[in-house]
Amino acid sequence: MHVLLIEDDRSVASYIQQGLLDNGYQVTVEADGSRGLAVAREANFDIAIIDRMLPGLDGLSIIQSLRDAGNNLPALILSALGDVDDRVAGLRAGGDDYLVKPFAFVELLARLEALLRRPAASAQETRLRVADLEMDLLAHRVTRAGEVIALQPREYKLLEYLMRHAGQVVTRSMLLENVWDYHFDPQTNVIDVHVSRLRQKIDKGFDQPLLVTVRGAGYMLSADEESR
Amino acid sequence: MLRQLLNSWAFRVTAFYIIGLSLLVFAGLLLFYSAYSYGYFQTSSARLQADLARLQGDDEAAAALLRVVNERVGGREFFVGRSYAVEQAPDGTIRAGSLPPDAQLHFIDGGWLRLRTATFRAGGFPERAVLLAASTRLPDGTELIAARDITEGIAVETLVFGILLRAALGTIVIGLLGGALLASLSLKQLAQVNQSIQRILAGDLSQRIRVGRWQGDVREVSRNFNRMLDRIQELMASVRQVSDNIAHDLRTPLTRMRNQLASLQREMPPEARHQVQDILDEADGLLVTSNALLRISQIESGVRRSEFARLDLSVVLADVAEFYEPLAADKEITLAIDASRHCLLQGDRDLLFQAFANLLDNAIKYTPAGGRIDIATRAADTSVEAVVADSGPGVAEAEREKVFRRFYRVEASRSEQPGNGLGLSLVRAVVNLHHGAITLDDNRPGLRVSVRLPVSGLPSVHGHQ
Repeated sequence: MHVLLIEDDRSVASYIQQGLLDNGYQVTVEADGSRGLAVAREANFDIAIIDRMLPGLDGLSIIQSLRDAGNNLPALILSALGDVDDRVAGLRAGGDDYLVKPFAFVELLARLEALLRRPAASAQETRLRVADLEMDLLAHRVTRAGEVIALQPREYKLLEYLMRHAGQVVTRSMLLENVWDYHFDPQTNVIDVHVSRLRQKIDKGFDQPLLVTVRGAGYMLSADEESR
Repeated sequence: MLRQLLNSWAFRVTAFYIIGLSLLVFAGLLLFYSAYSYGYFQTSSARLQADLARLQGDDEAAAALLRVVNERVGGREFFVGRSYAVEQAPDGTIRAGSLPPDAQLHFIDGGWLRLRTATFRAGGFPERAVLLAASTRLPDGTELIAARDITEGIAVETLVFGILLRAALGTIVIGLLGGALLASLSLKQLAQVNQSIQRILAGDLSQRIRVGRWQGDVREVSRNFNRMLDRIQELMASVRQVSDNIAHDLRTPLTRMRNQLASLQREMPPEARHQVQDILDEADGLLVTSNALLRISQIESGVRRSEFARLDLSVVLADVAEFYEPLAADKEITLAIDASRHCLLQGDRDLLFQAFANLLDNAIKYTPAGGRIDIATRAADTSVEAVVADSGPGVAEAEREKVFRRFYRVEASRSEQPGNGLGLSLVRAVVNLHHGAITLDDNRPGLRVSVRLPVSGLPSVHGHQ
């Protein structure tokens, strides 16, 4: 995986780079906006991490230029607190994501992986499956090993998001944004309570736990022991 | 309004001044009146004595005197200015002269005047005539009376006295009305200033008192007050700046440290990882705190107003309640919500969610197991109100303002509850951003937090509601 990082703050750039290298990514770093755009056009990257405020050309303009040229490179915008205006929020609609500084590296990594593994045609899916856990999107029915599990609407949404991102670390703020549709710092353990309720329903009585907590990061729904 | 007017300093001063001045002028004029009156009687009396003296000076017998009297006054209308009469003692019949027979003589034993007044009603004269008379006893025992008509003089005196009295009353009435007018004008100005100050005290330090062109003294006070506010704002901004800088400068190296530690952790044998994890958790806690601090400053600076949109506060509160329901259920707290009516307003839904999440988080933290929390929303004409009331220990009255300060924590909760003391600071920042007001009350027992937000999302023109 090849990541293009456009960030002018050298210290931020260096530890994102270091973290990504540690996690097996290949990283190209640019500090200038227009240089970054030029590099993005030339080479074939899998994903870009772009700071909102850049010398030369700002982050949103870079993405706009890429999209205008038909380039669908997924992008994660790094934004300062308070920069989260409608234009940044609009990124989500375009399938991209944003992250407010400062952030834990795990948060960045989780979002990066979510963007990279974004399924191409998720809307057409009618059935999600993780091990013996199945979700029928049309009938709104969840079964595990053939047994029907009754879920509250919010629990259903929570499970759907986790299943769509099966095998990936999902952070608390990602859950808040996508399941509750509120964007803020979850400085509370409430989400843990919601998740443990869901876990009670889908894992209790089964040998293999599917929903696990990733310490310091978030949660993961996975059938594969090794991916944890 | 009337009560306010009567209590106003300007009105009281004016009233005292006007009444005092009127009384003083009245007393002065009364003195003048008395002097005039005394002078008038004195002159009249002196003239009568002179008349008597002249009549006596003729040194004739009573008969002769009668003749003289008749000659002097004969043929003239009586009391056209002066009258003379000779009275024979002791039966009192008037023997000669022009004093009418029905004239009643009253002797005034006035010490220095030795006068008599005569009053009678005469044909053709509607009013009683008043004469001032002086008398002397002649050697033969008859009494000689000289009288002057003072009816006009008395009438003038009555008139002058009446004018004086009316003038004094008129002055008092006009003065009081003027005073009331002046006082109500100055009250109006002061009321405006007062309203502005109340708004500012309610938390919106960016407000200023409007300085009008015709305000005079109040204008100067308003200006100085505004200057004082500028200064306070500068000071607050610089304090905020310092704490922002600290948070900024700390979080960058802290993040780097944290990430390096996380890299190290990955290279460690699994047994040692959990020890490093504790340090990582501490670092994350610090990042969360500095993040929260910066977020509060960001909200206070008003940048996020660009995100304002129309939203239903009842929906936000229902979402918050739903979000926290499992936490309340774990503590067996009854969480009741009454938010069925629409409470539309201009606002930032993410921030409002966070603010009410913080309030409910606190409520659940402090409410004992088995307690109760009530959430309700209400809509009024220009504002919406949301209430979060719990059955916890509440907040002492003296602490209710302090809990909004950054890092302030109620003493008892420092050891018992986790938290960074920034939750309520953020709530207030969000409420202020929406130009609303937040109040803490006693829920008997517990804490009752009311948040009132203007529907428009703009500062209210009518001041504090």
